[in-house]
Amino acid sequence: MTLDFTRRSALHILGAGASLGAGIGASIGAFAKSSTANTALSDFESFAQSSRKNPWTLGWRSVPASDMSTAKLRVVSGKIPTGLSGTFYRNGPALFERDGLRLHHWFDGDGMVHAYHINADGVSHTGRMVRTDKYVREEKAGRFLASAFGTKIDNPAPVSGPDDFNAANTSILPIGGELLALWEGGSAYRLDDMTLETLGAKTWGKGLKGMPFSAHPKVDTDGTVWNFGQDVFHNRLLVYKIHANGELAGVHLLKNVAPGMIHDFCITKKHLIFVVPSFQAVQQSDTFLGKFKWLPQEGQRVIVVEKDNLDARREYELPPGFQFHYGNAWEDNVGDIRFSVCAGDDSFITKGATAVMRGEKFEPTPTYLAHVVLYKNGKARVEKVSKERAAHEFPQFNSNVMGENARYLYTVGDSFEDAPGQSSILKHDFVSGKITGHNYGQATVVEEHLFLARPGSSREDEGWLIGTTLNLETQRTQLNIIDAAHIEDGPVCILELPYALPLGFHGAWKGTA
Amino acid sequence: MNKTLNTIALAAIFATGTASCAHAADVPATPTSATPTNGTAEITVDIRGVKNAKGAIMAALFDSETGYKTNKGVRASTTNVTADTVSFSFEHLPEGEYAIKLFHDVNGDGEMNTNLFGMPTEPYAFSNNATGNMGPAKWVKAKFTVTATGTATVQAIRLN
Repeated sequence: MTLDFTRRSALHILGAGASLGAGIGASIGAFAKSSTANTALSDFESFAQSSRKNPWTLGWRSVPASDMSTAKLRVVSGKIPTGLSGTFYRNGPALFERDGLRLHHWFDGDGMVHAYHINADGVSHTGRMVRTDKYVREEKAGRFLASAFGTKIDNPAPVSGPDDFNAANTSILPIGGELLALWEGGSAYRLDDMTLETLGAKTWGKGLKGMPFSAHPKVDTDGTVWNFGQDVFHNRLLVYKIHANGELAGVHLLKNVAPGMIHDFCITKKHLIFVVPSFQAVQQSDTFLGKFKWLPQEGQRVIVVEKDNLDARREYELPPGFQFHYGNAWEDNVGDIRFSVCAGDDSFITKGATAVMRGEKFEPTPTYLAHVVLYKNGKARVEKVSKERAAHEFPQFNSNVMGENARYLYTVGDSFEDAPGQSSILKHDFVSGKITGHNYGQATVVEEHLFLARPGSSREDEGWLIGTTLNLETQRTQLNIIDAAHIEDGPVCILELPYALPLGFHGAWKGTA
Repeated sequence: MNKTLNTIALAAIFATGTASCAHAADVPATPTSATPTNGTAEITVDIRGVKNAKGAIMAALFDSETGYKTNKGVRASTTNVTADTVSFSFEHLPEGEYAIKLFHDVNGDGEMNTNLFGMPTEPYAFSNNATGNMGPAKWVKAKFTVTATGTATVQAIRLN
């Protein structure tokens, strides 16, 4: 396929594709024009038509194979930094089409997990579809069987619980010698951490089979893992505490949790913080997502519980909002809690993530970076940090300062220099107020970048940012390594896969011991 | 081999709910005052799709929507599982409308196991292979009519 990739078209495309790809709930940028959706076409036809003329659709093409591998990635520039050795895992929706049907919602795509094994000699890549029960049954049937998160399937197979439509497509957690492919509403799936072979659904303990285990566990500085699973239909949430060795320490049920969709949470040294957004499950629908409604009048509730006493709970009110992700959280010595958030509304999850599946442009409300302060006296305040249209997403920070007053936060976002398109990785310095970053260029869609502390480092920004990007000109996925202390210099090493992977969500790092 | 238990604990999916159903309910297996025992009709249940050839299939028969909703069954049956198919029957029934709820008690503890959110963790099914939306199938979908006394009505059920 020949792509007309003039600068003008690139700007136009990236106004839509790149920003959506890079940021869940992201800005479309000032360049996008609203388009008229052709609803007469099926999702499949609409996307096929769009993909013939819009290069940005590459990020939402169904993956061509269930297993992919490359023994050695081509080095485009630079070299792998000394001391960087381990495996960079990523997960994301990858399979979007079966039997002429294209999934209606991006989040419904079956998960593919990727492993980039990295050492001084080079980088290899393995990508494998997670063999969830859903995937195996649908492979056999040759069609989609389950009406899942946001896609209604005609003639669905019986659904007995969330794991029947668990796509295991959101994130990855290496723990206790296992690798877990994470979804939000059901079990984690166990994978072999080298071959990525699927070993089966994870049951943490008695009574926990099939329980939701969210895609955003938090790893404390002592290795303890905290996570949650939400049951929005019964206003409850299960908290998991897991030892560093992967054994369950315990679970605790929180009740009276309003039915707002909770995707992520934060931890401080002493507390867990759950924000219950204004996007609530209050209506009937054939799909999970369809049950949710934007209820700004409900505002947001924040539930704070003590790590050492999960019954010790206090709550706060916040203005209306819906967000996917939070940055770090910490408490000061008077007991006030602060956390950062990529704040927004429901426009991406309800409209943007279906538009991209049809290959259509859509302009969601831009997310912005904010600090939330929860005062000990029960009052709360939101301080906007970024400009309106910054569209920050995928916040990351040095995990060595988890729960502390972190100075730096890294986000994918639009340009820090008023350049168009969301093609940047940004570094926010909360002490100086400065934002620095690297713009990958107009034809690149930036995915999440993890911060990896340099072994033995003392400065908070001493380490690397590692992340993938989709280059729409070369139609290749790239792996980039940036020296975080000198982010504005761009990658110290760029490697290239011989193929393009669908845009993914989240990753994790497992260093070589 | 059939044996009758005093009660069958039917949880989760057998109660009403949206995404999952947390409340366990006991179904009296011994005939209640309303239990028909004087008919000549028979229902044969053939179960397929048994993944683990162990434990038992525990089933409850209902003859009204109210009974179905409130888990007040008219008969109960426990059948040991030794192969990937299982058959059993309910006999001496009068004509009428019936529905069946059943589950595979894989671990043999006599209960339909559920997780902490009340979601079933053992296979289950309803007559007509009726399905619910993250909950029990409705009576209207699960009910079937036993019309002629003296003949067997066959329910072929596949476990979820």
